[in-house]
Parts: sequence; C-alpha cells; structure tokens
Amino acid sequence: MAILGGGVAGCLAAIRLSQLGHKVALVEKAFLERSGCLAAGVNALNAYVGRGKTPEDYVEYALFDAHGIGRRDLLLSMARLLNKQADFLEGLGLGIHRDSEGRRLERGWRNLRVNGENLKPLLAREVLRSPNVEVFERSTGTHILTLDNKVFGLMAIKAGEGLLFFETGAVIVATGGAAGLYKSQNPASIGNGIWYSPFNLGGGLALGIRAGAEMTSLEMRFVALRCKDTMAPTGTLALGAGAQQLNGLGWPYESSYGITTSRRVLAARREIAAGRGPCHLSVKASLAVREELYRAYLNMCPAQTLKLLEERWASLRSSEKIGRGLRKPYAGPGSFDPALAEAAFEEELLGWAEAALAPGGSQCDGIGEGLGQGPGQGQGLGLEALGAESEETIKVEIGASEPYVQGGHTAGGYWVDTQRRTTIGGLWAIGDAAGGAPQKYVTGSMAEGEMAAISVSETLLKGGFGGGGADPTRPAARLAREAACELRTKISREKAKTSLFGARELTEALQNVMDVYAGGVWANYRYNQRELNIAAEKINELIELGEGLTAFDQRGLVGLWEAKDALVVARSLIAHLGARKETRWPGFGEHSDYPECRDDFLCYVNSVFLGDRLETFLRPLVKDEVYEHPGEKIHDPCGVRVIGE
Amino acid sequence: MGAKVFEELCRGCGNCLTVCPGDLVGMATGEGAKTKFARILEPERCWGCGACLKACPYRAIGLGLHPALGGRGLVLTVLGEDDKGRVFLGKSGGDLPKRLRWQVKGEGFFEEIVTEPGRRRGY
Repeated sequence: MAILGGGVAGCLAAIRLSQLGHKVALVEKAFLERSGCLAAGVNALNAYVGRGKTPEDYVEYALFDAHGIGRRDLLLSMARLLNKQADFLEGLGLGIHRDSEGRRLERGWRNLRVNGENLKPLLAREVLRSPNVEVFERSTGTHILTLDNKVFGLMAIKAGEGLLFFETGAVIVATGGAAGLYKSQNPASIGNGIWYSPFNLGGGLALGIRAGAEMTSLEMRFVALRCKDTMAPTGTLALGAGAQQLNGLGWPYESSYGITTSRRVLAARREIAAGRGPCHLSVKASLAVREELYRAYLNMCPAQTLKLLEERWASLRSSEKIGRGLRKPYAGPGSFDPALAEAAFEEELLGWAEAALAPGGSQCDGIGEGLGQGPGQGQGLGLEALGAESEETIKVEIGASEPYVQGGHTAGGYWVDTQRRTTIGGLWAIGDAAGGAPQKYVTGSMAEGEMAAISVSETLLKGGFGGGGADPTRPAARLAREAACELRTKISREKAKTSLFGARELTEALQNVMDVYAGGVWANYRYNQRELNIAAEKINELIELGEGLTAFDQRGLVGLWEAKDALVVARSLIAHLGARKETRWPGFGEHSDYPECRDDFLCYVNSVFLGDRLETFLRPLVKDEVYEHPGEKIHDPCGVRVIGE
Repeated sequence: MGAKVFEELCRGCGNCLTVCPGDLVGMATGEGAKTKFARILEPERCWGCGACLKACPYRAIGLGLHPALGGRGLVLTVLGEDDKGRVFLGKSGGDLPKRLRWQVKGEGFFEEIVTEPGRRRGY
C-alpha cells in the first residue's frame, strides 16, 4: 500500500503498518528528515490530555473552540490516543520538560513543553528503521487513480527519474493543507514570512477533489495569530513566559472579545482596525527567561530568535549613538565593560521611572527588581555580568496571518469516517489533509496515522478492498496510461519557451483573485456572494488557462502541477465560503451578506466534484462516537441541501 | 532572505542537499568547473527552517532575516556538538547529536546559544 506525504501523520502510519507486517511505500515530495510542518522543530505538543482531565474534556474544548463545527467521533477517537503519541515520542528520545517531582511539565492542561528541534528527524529515523517501509523521496503525487469510486493506484513524479506508478488498492493521503491560496502579508520573495509550510500547497486535497472525494469545512479557514513578520507562535511567549496581550494604548483587550481561537484573532484585527494598534505581547523577562525564549524559538522558528536578537542589537547600537560613555559594543555573554554598565544603569533608571508610571508596570518596588523595564531595554547586559537579576521588557508585535485551508488547527479537509476512510474506496486521509477534527496538531496527526494504519490493516486482512483491489483490469491500465501520457505531454521545451505564462504567473493570478474576491488580507478577510461569484469565474478561467500550459523540464512540471492543484482547492474553497451563509468564525473570515452566526448552519458544509461541476451540500452534525459513510448515493444536483437524518 | 550559502566557505560536501523540506538546495559549479558549492535554487521559497544550517559541517550556510522582517545583518549559523555540524542524514539512521551550538553574529555582536534536544529540564 502507499502513503502520500511523509510528515508526522504519514511517518506514524508507516511505522505502525510496518509493525503490523504490511509492505508500505512512503511517497514524500522532498526529504523525509525534515519534511512536513515540523521542519524547524516544535517547542510544545499542543494536543495532550493533562492530569485530572479526560479525552472527553479535550473533545468539549475543541468543539467549543470551533463554535460547534467539529466531529465528535473523530475528536474522541483522536483524543484517546494523544498521550500515547507523547509517550511514543519520548521513547524515541524527545525531550519533554519535567517538573521537580519528575512529572511532565504541563503548560495549561493541553500542552506539553518539549525540546522538539529533532522531533521530525527522530520520527524519520524510526521510519527508516522500519523493515517493511520503502521511502520514495523527491516524489510528488499527481494522480489518485480510481475506477468505480475505488482506488487502484497512485501516480507521482520523482525528481530526476521520471514517473512512478504505485499499483495499489490502498492509499493514505497524509499530505497536509494548503498554503499559497492567499497572498502572504510579507513580500512574495520571502518564503519564511508565512505561517504554514510553503511546501504544503494543497496537492493532496486537489488529488482527492479531482478523484471525486467528499470534502468538508474548507470554509473554516485558519488564520493564525502570530508574532508579526516571522509568524512565530505566540504561545511560546504567552503560555511559556506569561506574556500579556496589549494594544497600542497599553490596554489588555483580549477578554472583551471571547476566548476561542477565532475570537482571539478577531480581537487583534479589530483593535488595529479601530486605530488602537499596534498590538503586542509584553512580558518582563529575566535573563534566564529570555535565554529560555531564545532556545524555545530556536527549536521551532529560528527567525524569531534572530529577530529578538536583532532588536537587542539595534538598541545597543542606538545607545552607542546617544553616546553616554558607551564606546564598545557588546562582545558576548560574560563580558563586562564598566562604561557600558554605567550607561546602561542611567538608561535603566530613566526607563524604570517611566515604567513605574505606566499601567501594569508597578511591580518594581526596588531598583534591583525594576531594572530593565521601560524603553531603555537592551542595556541591562553589563549588569547581568555583575550578577544582578535584570529584567527586560520584551515587546513582540503580533498580527493575523493570511488564511489557510487545513485540518490540523481548523477543520478543512477530506470528509472521513471514524476510521479515517474517505468516501472513495481504499482511500484514507489523515493529519492536516483530513477535516472534521480541529485542534489536532502534532500528536493528533500521529493518532490519526495510527488509526488509519489499523483500519488499512484490518481491511487487508479481511481480504482486500472490496473489488477495487490490485487487480489490473484493462480499464484501470488504460486510465493509468492516460494519466502518464497527460504528464509526458506537459513537458515541452519549445512550447514553454514561447509561452507567455508559467506556473508562477498562474499562482500569482490565483492569489490576486483570492485576496480581493474571497476574503484575503486585502479585503480584510471579508467576502460576499457577488465577490465570490467573480472569484469562481476567474478561478475557472485560470484552471482553463493552466490546462494549456507546459513546463520546460521535470522540476517545472512539478511546479505547474502544484499551481494547478492550488486552483482546484481554491475553486472548492470558494464554493464552501458561499454555501455557509453565516459568519461563524469572524476571526477567520466574515461573510458580509450574513454577518451573524445562524443556528440553522450548525452543520457541516461538504462538497463533491463531479467531473464537470462542484456540488455543495449540508450534512447534520455527527454527535455519536462512530460515524460510517452512508451507502446511499449522496450526489444530488440540487445545490445546497441537507443529507441524512 | 532565509538561508544563504557563503560560497567561499562551502566545500561542496553535499550534506545540505538531502535535508531541505522543500528540496531547494542544489549543487553549482564555480569558475572553470573546478569548485563545487551548494546553492539555494529558489531562495524566495525558503521557509527559514534551518535544516541546511544544521547539516553544514563548515558553518557555510547562514540564516538571515530580510530587512522587511526586521533583519539588519545578523547571521545565524549552527554547529553540532561534534564540530561536524551534521545533525542527521536520512539515509544513515544514525544517532542525533546531544546538543546544537547556535551562533548569531553581526558587526560587534556575537551570541552563542546551546540547545539540547534530548534534555529534560526540571523546574
């Protein structure tokens, strides 16, 4: 069987399937060691059931946070396996912080602090040690081949080698969500200015959409509240160092908006829109806390450590310009320059006096404690060398990211049953590619990998895939040949040379459309049906345009395929946005025609692509512990309607 | 800007070629085809994850911030505990280093931070 995508979900599925004795091909578009969302690492496991809590508590929390739109069955089955994944990772060598009594240090009740720089390499190493797994690196999936709604193969382009065809009746999609549908807030030339992995471009979703798989909740886009510019997580500061969110006037504004993820994103956006920006996280941090912050960010988002140090460096240089006897720049920890210390001291006193007057800054009842507060930050360095405990105020500006489609934080992705089977026979979906289970994160994605592995194994032991199977029937062989031919004809040096556009232009055009007409940052996350209609029309034009394009070489073909995949995901997203005639998650997007949350939309918006048209429909909430796909024919060409019950 | 290869320091060992989560690193040939060095093929797509920094034994790859993100010239490099910098190459399945030495350098600025991936801290 084949697994598409070698992130944490795919790796876990591969490890478990190998343990169950099955041969697995793991298809990864780059290199297994650090591919997926955890390339830089991760400094916390955000899905965990803490002491005194139950999996049910986790389900309630996730459903509450999603304003009701989540699958109880998926969340519960996942939550029951969360802590097992943490145990497994610790067994592989992941450093989980512990308190003085040796218990895991919980950050809140759902969150574990870890030294997770090496989390992905640890998992990758375990995959490579698994006897039954063959890893195909630099291989990008292009087709999930189906016949009579059953999988019979997976097609991929392997860089430098050509086409791969996996003839199999079982495929697990573990690819991740979609970045790049909307413009980054930072210049397009800065890949590290976006929140999600820029290499997750929605390909796995597009493959399923084309094959006719049902998708759910794409309209529940994810907008991340992050450190501005670097898109580093705010939890490291907020939960890890106790930082408080303040607006530009120094007011803590969070509580007046509500505490769900969507509301917290909305809070920062509204404050800025109301002219009370910039918003920032603010914390008085001792040297020890600051160093811990540097380490924590190096384990997850090195750019943020770099940014913190840049700011520190800048403040050192500016104090040099002021010229209070400071001549020598800071030369590393442990060094001590009396002149620098003296200048710092003066600066600190000034800052301390100001900070004492500022709201919330009254903790400094003595110079020793108050040092380092206020505007003169950065000059406490010399004093540290003296051994004085010096606190600095770290202020990190925060802001909302551009929207993404993914199923790890929010609920957009494949519509699956409790075993993570999609609506296509022999196709499973897990991790960020699978919808319905928000707040999944690392451990939740792994839990889904485990569940899918068990489900695949059971199906195999039962004797195959109910007719789809590996039987190379003649129509299947023909379809595979057609797919291969389609790919081959897309490489043409002559045509590519004379073409006006390529993959890059296609992506840029997509982002322009989505940003303006489908609630991107440019439109302040707002959209209405008129705009969505324009977006749909333009995306269809671009899809048509993409069909005529060819690539210069194989690498170009992968890029072209990714651009075309993104368009397919965008088309579905637009339909979903329009079908949910309400505003349920205002932080993630606002439907201007329906600015309120409506009880009659306490249901899922799902969609199926039927070859020539996209059908959207509503499904009632799943409240049971187990959900099976209904056997009935679900595609009814009458637009939005409720199916089931 | 993300990751940058300092060509004069690069010795063309190729460790960084098989770690990028975006498959963005390739090998380039210098003048007269005598020297080989790594090159970020599509620098605008670099996520800044630091995978290539950790794979470089010669501290020849650095991570800097674009000025639009607040970068003013500091460069982050990494050296593994064993002074080989090489953290883990997928094919080997070998041991991971016990700590990483990160260095941030700029004109008149130097900071070294050590992280220990496997360390379990007590509080």
